[in-house]
Amino acid sequence: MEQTSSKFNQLPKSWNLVFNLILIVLCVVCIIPIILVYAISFTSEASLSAKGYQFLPSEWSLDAYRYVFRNGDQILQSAYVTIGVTAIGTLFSLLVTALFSYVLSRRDFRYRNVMAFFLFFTMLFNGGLVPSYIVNTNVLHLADTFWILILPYSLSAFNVIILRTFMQQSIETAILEAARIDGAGEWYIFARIVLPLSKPGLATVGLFTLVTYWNDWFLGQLYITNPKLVSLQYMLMKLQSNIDFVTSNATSATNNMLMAQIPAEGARMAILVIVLTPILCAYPFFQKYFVKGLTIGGIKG
Amino acid sequence: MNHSRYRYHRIVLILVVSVLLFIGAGCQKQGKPDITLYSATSQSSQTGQEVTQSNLPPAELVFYNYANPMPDQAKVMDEVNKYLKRKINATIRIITLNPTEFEAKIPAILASGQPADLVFTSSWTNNYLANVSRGAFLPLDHLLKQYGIGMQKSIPSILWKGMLVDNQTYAVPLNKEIGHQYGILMRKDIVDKYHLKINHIRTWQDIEPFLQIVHQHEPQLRPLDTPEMLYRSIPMNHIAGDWYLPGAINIGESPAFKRDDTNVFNQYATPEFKHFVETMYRWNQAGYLPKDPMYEAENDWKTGQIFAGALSYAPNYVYERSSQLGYDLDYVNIGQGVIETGDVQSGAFAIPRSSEQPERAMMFLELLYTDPYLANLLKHGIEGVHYVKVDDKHIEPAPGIDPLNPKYDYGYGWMWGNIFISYFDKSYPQDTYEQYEAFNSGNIPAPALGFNMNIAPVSTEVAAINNVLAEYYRPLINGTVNPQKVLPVFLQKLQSAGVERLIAEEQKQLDLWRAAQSLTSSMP
Repeated sequence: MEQTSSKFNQLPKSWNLVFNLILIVLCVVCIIPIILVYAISFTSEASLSAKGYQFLPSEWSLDAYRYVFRNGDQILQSAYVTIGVTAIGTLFSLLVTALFSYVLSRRDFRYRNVMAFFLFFTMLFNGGLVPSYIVNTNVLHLADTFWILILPYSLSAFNVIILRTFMQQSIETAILEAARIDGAGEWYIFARIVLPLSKPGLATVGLFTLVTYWNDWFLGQLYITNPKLVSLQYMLMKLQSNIDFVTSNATSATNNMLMAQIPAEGARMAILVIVLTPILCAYPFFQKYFVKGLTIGGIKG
Repeated sequence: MNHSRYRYHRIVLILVVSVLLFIGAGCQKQGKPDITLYSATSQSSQTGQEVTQSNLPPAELVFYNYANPMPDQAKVMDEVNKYLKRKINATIRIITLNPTEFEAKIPAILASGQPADLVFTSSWTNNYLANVSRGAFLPLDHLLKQYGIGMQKSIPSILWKGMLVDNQTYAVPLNKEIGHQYGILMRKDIVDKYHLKINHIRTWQDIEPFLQIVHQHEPQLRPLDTPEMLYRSIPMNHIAGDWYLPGAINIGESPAFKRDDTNVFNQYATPEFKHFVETMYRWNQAGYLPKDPMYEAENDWKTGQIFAGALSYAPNYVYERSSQLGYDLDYVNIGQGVIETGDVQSGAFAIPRSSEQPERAMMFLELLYTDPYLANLLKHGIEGVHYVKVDDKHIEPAPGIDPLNPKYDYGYGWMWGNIFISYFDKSYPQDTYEQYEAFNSGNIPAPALGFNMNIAPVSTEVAAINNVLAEYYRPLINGTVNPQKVLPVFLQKLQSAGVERLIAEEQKQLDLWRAAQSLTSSMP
């Protein structure tokens, strides 16, 4: 009896092997391009144009990195901006998301439906770029400020839905009622009971937010002109765009020489490496929460 | 008790909504500055007051330009502002945006009515006509009459003509090369080795014997880059403004099309197009062309693996290209250089509606186009710091400046208005200006120069036609598909996408424009 019930959910060994193989192939397909990117970033531009992309470069070179780090001060400044935005933004966004998700998960909250309506409505219909630009610049006067890099991404409807579902399923109303009987107020319940119990959910949403803030260049491109507030991604994006512009608009002998020396292809890959590496390193630490935390609908676990 | 709480909530709700509406109304007003206000101020200055620094209130301008930011931008801007303060009692904040930034920021800035006094516009980015029809730019004619006399004289009239929309000027064109001319670049060593008589090349077809020789004797070389530019060298006047869209008229002196220059025709249905794509198919079969229609050749150029390529020519291009590639190139012109409306609108400065001091913006433009000091400051930086003069026309990087990493240098600086009042790098020949002038006067104006097609009435057809073009144009032009089978299908699909309605609309608008032209020209 014990035997049959455990076998009920199991695949035959041969099928298991097949699925594992498929998974391995998928992993390899995902990882190989990344390795190639790392390899190209260390290849000399001359061998790139002569021989194309290679996993084992015939000529190693650090020129691409030298070019990217040529304006070192700006990179440092931009790294501060990005780290600051990512840290503050993620914490702020988690707080706002958790507050919103929690009230939506409470069935006895009077404006639950109204709030949920606002959430879904803005998720389905958004005003578009120009209206939000007008609000952010002309009404809130956020252009060229630190907060413009944080506020627009602080509440994502999708994250709220994930967290609300998680709270609804993993926090029993009975616990909250028990806490209330023991004399806890609403804020106490939220801070000492709901937040600790939602850790896996918070970690998952936190990772999403972290990646969003880390990868963002769009807000910078739209709202930032002050070089002190240019984030790393936006700076690298600009650098790439500048290379394209210089290479298509050479107008003197010096420019032309300059152009021939720009490691255009290598720099593109070096930029990718610089952007990719830190966030790749952050992933494994979230992995254990990831397994538990992601529940959008239905029942998991 | 419960009742009163409800009422309280309702009041709060009403308050919140009304505040939101109030804010919305406020920003709308800011978005569209009052036009009457603006013309009133301009009239008051029209009363013959002498414009001098003393009676001008201080002003700050914001200028968004399409250019690469330079490391020493701030330093140069300080100099610029010192000078402007003295000249027109104004300071300017120039925000240079590279292509991707420009395309992202400018539409939002123009649509939101954020303060901006000058902005780059053209037929290929931040579209001039679209912005004019949206009402994003101020009409400039009376401002030009007052503050832009020098500019009006120094910019060729053909450029002004091309900027006209309903007989109004909405932007000041860049003064640089005018029109387009196609040609073929060839590796000089190969030309010399086989004693190729390249002077005999007149049209795109004349290159075939050379390709044959190269293909036979130099098997490691690709004889020809992608042939799209060869096709474009057939001179026509494209009516829709967009190069690909069907609808063209004959250019009077063009040998290719023996049609009159009043009837709009579909260039893809002509025998000339058929002949071209058939030849390309043959060349592709013979191995003269890359097999991949989306082929990107820059690397092969760099490593010298291509013999020849057709291109759109500008003065000094050959010299620039060979110094860039590191080997010598030969060049011949093919076809006739032509000036179309789109060429004229290849770059201009407009004053957005949100500008609070259009007069001062115009005064700045006047200086930019006529004052060599300001022009050179913006193009090459500060004399002695960023560059030193070699002779009265040429400069070189100042001592201590790494030529490979200049702190400030826009080369010939087409993005700063007038190229004819500034110095060139010492590597340029003495007759650089003369080359530009010869180029400009060598190109013939297209019959419909100054005509601007309004695409709105046929926008559905245009969308459908663009889909068809995206699918068939490049494979046909590059000879990767058999035209015997594919060309009829292509024409058939164009037909069902509504090419006839597009041509008819083009014809109608062109006729109206012509009638209006002859009316204005016959007026005393």
